[in-house]
Amino acid sequence: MKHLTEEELILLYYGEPGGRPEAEEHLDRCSNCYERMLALQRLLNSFAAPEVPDPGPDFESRIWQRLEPMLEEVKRPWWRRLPRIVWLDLPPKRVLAASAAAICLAVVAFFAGRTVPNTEPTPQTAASESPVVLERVLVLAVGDHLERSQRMLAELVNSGEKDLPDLTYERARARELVQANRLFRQTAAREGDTSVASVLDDLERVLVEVAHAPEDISPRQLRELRRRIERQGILFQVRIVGDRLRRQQAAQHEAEETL
Amino acid sequence: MQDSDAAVIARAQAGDKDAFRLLVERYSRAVYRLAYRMTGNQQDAEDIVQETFLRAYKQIHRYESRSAFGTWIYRIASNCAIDLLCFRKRYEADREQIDVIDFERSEAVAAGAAQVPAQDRLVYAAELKRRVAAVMAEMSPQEKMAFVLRHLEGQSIEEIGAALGTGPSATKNSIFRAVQKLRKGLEPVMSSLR
Ligand SMILES: [Zn+2]
Repeated sequence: MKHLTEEELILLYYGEPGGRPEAEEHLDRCSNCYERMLALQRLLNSFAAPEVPDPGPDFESRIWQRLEPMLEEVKRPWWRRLPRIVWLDLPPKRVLAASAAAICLAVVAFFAGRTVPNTEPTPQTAASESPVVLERVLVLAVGDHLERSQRMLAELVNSGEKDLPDLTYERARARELVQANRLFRQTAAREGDTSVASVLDDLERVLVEVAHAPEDISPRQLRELRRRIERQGILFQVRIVGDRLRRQQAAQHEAEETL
Repeated sequence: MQDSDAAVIARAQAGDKDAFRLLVERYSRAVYRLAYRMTGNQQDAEDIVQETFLRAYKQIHRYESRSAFGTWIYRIASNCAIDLLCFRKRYEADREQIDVIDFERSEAVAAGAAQVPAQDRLVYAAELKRRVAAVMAEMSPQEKMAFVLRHLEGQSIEEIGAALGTGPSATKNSIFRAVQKLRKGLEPVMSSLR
């Protein structure tokens, strides 16, 4: 019999079926294979499960508290979700004013970050989260932007096919979001926060796609668009970065309180 | 008396949110444990738990009682963990990697350390950690997931295949590749492996 392959040794180590029936017998008689098995054992025995820290007695209720508002969003049909969308509540002129304000905020944040020397000591907790701490205004604005983008995309992905006869609202909101996104992305890149910048980069591609989707989108095109959004996992990524920024913001807030 | 999973799931599928909450309470710790082993980070693990149950909620009507609810939720959790790891790989490559090696109790680590002078042991340990991190980073999320489930969670190849949605030979190959990467990466420093 030929010597055992590494694959066969691994299966034997884990007691999994699938190797040759005479493999075990060979191992007993062949010193070469036996030595290789010992080495494999030494390697794999080194890997032990790390202790999993106890998430605390309130773990389940904490998870539920975070989860419940998200479930509400999933269940509500789109026409009942509409009044919650700030952009659509406002008359067109105020939409323009609001988006201009968002852009000004980003620009102010950018210049504030650049020209005002930061004399305050940087809180350690916030610094450990990201290589370069974004200015707090920017953190706030980007967090808000991610939240709005996420909500728009989540609605698009979650709504039933019959619920969405056309994309008029989504396209308009996506166009607004693309503009803000571009500014934030450039600022984050300049500030050296590469992970925020690259998530914004991916997000922008998706937003542009929504903004340019045909007005009379066919159910098939819509399905494909949704699948692309889901496949890229952009929603989850946006949530991760959004959460990170919120924690960063909370840490900054806490640090200020204690000063 | 506690309601059976089947009864609770049926209620959740009919849109009963309290029933869904019961499922979260029953399964979130198991999901958390798996997620922690994949990420080595409590915050990431909680993000995965949240995302897992969000996805489960959206798809609950698709759940069929042929498989256990635990297996079904594990499958969703595996996908979430893989998504998160892909995300980390892509955006935060410089982030500190997880420790899966038990440095205290490892025979091979001890044997390797015995060969370096006492004053160099810290350097040795640091080098080992660096290499483990490098190997873990080199594994694809699927390979890492398969390895964690087989080696740390003690699941069979069949169960892992069910969780990852891969056939037996693809599942085996993921584990083989993970172990090979570990061996190649650690052989030079763990001399007793040769
Ligand atoms: Zn042999």
